[in-house]
Amino acid sequence: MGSWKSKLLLISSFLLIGLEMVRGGELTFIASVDKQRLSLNEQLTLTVTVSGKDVGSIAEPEPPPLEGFQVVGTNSSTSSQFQFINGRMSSSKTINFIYYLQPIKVGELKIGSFKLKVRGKTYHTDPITVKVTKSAGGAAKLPHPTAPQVPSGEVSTGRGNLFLSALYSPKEVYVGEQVTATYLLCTREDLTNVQYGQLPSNTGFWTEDIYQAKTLNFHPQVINGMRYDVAKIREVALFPTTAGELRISPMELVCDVSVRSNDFFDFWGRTKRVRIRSNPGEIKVLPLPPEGKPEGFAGAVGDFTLHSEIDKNQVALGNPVNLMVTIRGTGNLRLITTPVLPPLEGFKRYEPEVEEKISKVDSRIGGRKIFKYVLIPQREGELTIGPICLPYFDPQAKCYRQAKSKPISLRVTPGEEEKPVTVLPLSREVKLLGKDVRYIKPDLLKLADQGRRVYKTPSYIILHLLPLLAIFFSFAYRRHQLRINQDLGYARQRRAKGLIQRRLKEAKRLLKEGSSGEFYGAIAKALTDYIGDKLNIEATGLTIDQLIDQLRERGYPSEVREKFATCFENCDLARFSPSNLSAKEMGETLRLAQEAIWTMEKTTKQGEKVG
Amino acid sequence: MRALGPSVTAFLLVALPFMRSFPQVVPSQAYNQGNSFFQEGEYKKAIQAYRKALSLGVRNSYLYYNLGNAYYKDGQLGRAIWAYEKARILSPRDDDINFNLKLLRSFIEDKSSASSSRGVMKFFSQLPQFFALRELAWGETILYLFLTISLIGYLLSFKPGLRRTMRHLSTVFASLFFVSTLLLFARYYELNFKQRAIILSSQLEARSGPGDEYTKILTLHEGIEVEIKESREGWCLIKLPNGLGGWVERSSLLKI
Repeated sequence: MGSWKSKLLLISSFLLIGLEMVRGGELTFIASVDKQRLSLNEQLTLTVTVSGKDVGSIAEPEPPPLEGFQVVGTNSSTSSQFQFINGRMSSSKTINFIYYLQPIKVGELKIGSFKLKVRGKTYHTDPITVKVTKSAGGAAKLPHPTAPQVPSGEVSTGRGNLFLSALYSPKEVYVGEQVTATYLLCTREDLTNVQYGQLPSNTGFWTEDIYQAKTLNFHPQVINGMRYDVAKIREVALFPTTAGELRISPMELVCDVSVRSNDFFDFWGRTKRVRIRSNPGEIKVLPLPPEGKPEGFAGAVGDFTLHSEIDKNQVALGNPVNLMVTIRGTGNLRLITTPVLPPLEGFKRYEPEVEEKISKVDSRIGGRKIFKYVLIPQREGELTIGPICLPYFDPQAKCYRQAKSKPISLRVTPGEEEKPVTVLPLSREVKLLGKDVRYIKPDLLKLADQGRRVYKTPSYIILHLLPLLAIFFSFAYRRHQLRINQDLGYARQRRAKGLIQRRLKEAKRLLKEGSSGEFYGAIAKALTDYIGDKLNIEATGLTIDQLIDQLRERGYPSEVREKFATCFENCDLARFSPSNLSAKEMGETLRLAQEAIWTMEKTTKQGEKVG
Repeated sequence: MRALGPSVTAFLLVALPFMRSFPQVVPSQAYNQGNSFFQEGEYKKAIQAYRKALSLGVRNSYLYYNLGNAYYKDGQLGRAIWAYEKARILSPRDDDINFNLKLLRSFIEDKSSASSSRGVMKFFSQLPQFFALRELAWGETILYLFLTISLIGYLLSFKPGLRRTMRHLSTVFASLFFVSTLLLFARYYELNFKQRAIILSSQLEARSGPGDEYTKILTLHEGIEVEIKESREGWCLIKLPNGLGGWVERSSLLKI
């Protein structure tokens, strides 16, 4: 905790003073306290800050006589700052000297000036006045200021900054009387990951947990003049079962302690795993006095009351009656076996069903224990269930006592009919009483809605529709592939368009080069092949007229035929006429060819009936 | 229409993450509060807390289970059985739920003989009850996806060997998908079209018609599970697993 806070404090002071420094360029020398009012059991943190350019290594400032205070500890920290202003680097350094002070008297206490000599110049801090009041009463001293029982070599600090204190009270008890063991974790360090290392094995005791810390609630407390953060870890009730000098073995805790590092920028620090052990306990257990021990005493120690009742006052012969004997009080309730039943004449008795509820009242273990007897009257008339006793030992009064119930009377009427034995439902009931439902399910961070209608969620519907689409498309793709492989005509038709586009592009290149002969040749060849592919015929040998006839046969409209005819005629004319045709005319032919193809594609698309 | 198809799909895909409802924090708080009441032995308060969590719209087997425990500890056998039945719909294979349900059923005074079918038939008729509806729905979805993937693989593979493997895979997944769909429909039918209920009154007379003037024909006790066949003017015609039946007042029933 200390290093955390001091580091935060450091950051803030670092920022403020850093700014100051750059402006002034002078040496700053300040003393400050973390609070101006405090009580006797609190601690004061006095921080003396030296900062400036080229502070380098300076000696510790000379402290004034700190009257009324005891120096509990000291610490120091250094930080550096670099700054670039107009391309020039300036560095400054801040050193904090921290004093932890414990006031030892009440009143207005004055902290005088600190002196610091640097290069022949003397600096002074302003004196500070703090007001010390009496203890606030909240944080009392530990009732048992044990010396740190930390085994050497096991703790990184070794300064007694961390220890586990075990308090045992009382130290002298009777057999069966409660001893309370309280485990307190006292620390001046940052702790994380606190876990039980080894739990005490308490032979000779029957133990019952009173308190077990789920989270560590630290309260400040002063032990031997030092401020500690103290948290209650565990509280256990121990009931000795034998007499003699009994030893309670120590409890162990394992935790991570953050290691203070000198490097300021190592902000999060590192941690070290540390095992700490509490002090063991020595308990003197007295045997119960033999004199006056009542008959039927079975080891009950504490303070008890006994109450008994039956569920009905009148019962038919042979029918069961429930007798409930309740024992209440504090003490070793668990060790009570059965109360002493008087001789129950005229009754048939079954073994009791025992129900106990242990509770904790002000770190005393107690509760109630109920014995449920099933009785079956064997004869008619007024029957009495005599007083039921529980002899116990009262350790406060150091004598034996009796808890006793009032006698109960029961009227038994003759049975309505001569049922031989009604044990059958009874035995069933007795058997079932021993059963119980299984325990509840544990806490949850989030309750999932398991009843959501999955089949109505969008993801469910999409997951069912998308695959159908995928199957449809893959089916279409497969059909296409198969036609290409098997139907040559289909394949030719599919590739015709792509092929003619490439060829026309080639023709365009020839046009740009100006070689008209080759251009017209290419166009004619491309168009012939295109028609051949489209109609799935061998077109190379055919004349223009034959090609156009083929188109007519396949049902292509005259519009298409005329366009192709014009194209072919243009080509023939150009190839066999001697004069060179201009680029403009060549472009016109190309446009015409493209138009012809486009018209033909459109006709094909309009209906396969053409093909 | 052709252009609309993909855009609708794309919209659904984009919108999907936002259409899920956000998890609520409050039901779990009420649930945990109920647990702490239960641990203190305050069963009535625990019941209230659990019912609060239920009223927030969460259906969770843990919640119903703990509610059942609280009802039982509070001495309400019928409602406890009801809560366990609710829990079992959501987690049919939970050991604790089945244990407690069996134990509580042994407390019911009349032992009605269970369904008469046996052997293989019993196995198949009870198989759907072995799964929660959501488990069956997701199982069916996964098998459906495997089936479609293997079908697509079959359609898109052109090598004979691969194609044969894909065909076998498709057959296997198709039969698994068929079984899972059957289970899903059986469970869905059972949960949505069969109205089961638990008797709440400690002793209840079933009559031959919907009214007090009709003859008593049956005596029923708290905790028995019945099937509601018909409802009329605040009365229900119920049927026991062994085939007996009669009319009882609706207020003495709690629908599962």
